[in-house]
Amino acid sequence: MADPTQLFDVDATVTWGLLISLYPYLTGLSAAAFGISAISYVFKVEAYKPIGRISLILAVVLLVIAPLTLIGELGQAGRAYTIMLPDRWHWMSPMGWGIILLTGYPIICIVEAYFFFREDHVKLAQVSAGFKRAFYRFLALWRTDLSPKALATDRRWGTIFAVLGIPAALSVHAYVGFIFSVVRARPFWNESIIPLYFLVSAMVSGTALLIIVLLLVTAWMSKQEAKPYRDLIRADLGNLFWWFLATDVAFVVAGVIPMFYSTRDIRQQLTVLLSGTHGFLVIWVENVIGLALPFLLLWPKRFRRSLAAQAFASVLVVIGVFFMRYNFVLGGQLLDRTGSQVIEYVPSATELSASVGIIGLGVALFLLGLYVLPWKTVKPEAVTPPPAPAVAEAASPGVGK
Amino acid sequence: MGEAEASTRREFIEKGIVGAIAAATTITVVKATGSSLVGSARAQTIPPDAKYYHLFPDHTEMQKRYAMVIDLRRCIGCRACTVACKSENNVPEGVFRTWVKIVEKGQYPIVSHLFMPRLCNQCDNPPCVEVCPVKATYKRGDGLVLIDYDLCIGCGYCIQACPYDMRFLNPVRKTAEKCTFCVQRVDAGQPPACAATCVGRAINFGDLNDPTSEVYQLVQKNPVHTIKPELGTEPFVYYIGLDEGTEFRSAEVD
Repeated sequence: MADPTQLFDVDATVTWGLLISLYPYLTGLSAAAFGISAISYVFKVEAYKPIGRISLILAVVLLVIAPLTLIGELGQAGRAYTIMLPDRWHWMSPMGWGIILLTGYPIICIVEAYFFFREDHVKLAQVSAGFKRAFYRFLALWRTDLSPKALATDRRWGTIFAVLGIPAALSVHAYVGFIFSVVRARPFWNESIIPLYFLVSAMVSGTALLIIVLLLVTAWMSKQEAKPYRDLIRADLGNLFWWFLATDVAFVVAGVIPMFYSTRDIRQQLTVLLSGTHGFLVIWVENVIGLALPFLLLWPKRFRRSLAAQAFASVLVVIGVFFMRYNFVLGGQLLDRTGSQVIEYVPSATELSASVGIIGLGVALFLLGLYVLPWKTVKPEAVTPPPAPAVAEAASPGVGK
Repeated sequence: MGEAEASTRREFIEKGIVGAIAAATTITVVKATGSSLVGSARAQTIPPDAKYYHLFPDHTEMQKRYAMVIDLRRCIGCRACTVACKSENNVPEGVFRTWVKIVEKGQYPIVSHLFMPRLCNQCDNPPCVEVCPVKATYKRGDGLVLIDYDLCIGCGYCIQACPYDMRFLNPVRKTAEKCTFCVQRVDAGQPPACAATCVGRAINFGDLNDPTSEVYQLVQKNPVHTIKPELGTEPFVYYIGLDEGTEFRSAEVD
């Protein structure tokens, strides 16, 4: 029977745009960065020690900027805080779970960082003067005891919070998957695999971002100083990256194959996803260039040991996973649920500038974190009190050198 | 672990699974019978002004259960309902709480126009209410799904969750909005604006728990259809004479 021609229907619009697709991207990166710091702090893997702190800083910064995307998309941004009010809080809404996680997870991260950074903050306070001294004393919360017993307490409590942080980091990203997967009105979102798929692709993108960050910061280091970081990428982190990629490929295959055998709604969804501009983003940017290419490139161990190959693959993955989120969030909404038209969506100038602004803020905060915080382990020679004029220099971020 | 112990454990788990399945089936059966439109013996205890944010009660327990029956055989596609709704509810330009979808079926000379007035389905089991993070939207004891505009933060989650695309962000108030069955009129004892204005009496409004009401009789005497019944939302807007092609996703995607 020929399909009837539609003469009139009210157009549906895309409610969640670019900013909302940025949100799962940022929380995913944060969860992954935390996971990698946990390899050092919870599982005590010696090789990951140099990057424990930098990935912790990255995790906190990403999670600080992530909720801004949500607030930017709210119709009534001034009422955002009301989600937290006990009489308004709704246990059945994944956004209700989210507010607990979004509040609890950064607190856990910061408390963990406090314990693991305290020793170096105290040492920095000892070699600085004036405002800097007061600042680092504040970061150590005026607990300047450096006795072995106090340091052991730090390690114990830091580890406890690091352990607590693992389920928190996983949930803070998985809940984002649930936000979409509980929406039965959107057949493309309403899949039980989504939270897990989000987690896997988050691990991929987070590892990639960390590799990029490490390669960038080591570019300003002496060869000898950069060695532990580069060795880590060549050996452990690069391998981990490839295995995450392999898992992601498996999830994509497992998620996509049943779609071709699925119901009318899903099939129609698939047609929309794979056609036009959106199809280009899904097939080429997200899956071929952003996933398959890095996966195949790093398959030979020889390439996994090459920093250039790792850098190239990481850049592709960071872009590819962003488009995975974008295609997922927008792709679910492109098909009008009442009528039959495909909705056109182009990010508005406001959305674009807000996204750039939020990412820019993240970069700025991260650089500030690297500048202020002792993310490299302070070596003993830097702590010996230098002559007075050199004090300021010694206390500068280069202290770790 | 000994073998005997293992087998007891297996038995235990098997029993547990069987028990769980039995329990689940019972619940489904109860729910299914409960929601059948034939009046049940259950006590109608829920007052019209009760508020529910989740775990929605069955409509047979409500003292009143407002519903709408749209007889498409009588719809002429004049869109008076759209206009009446706009003026009654002060709906801003560019958005609609109710409208008439129009579809052309067949080819000349065998051709017909099909109309489908669309509005909030006031589901018995509304997915939009479950996901609201601030309890701004709720289901009332008489079945109306309403929004408290002073609480809504405009996150758009309910708009995503509605399988019928009936919610939208009010561009002026910046909160979610949808058809309320004209709650202000219903509370004053009048029918919704669209039902009151419908020239062909296609739109009928009333209490489905009252056997003397027009909607009850229309539903019992005619083959009725709800939209997307597979989602388990149990809409309370019934259509008589709804064509498959008018309902959803009729045209092809290019």
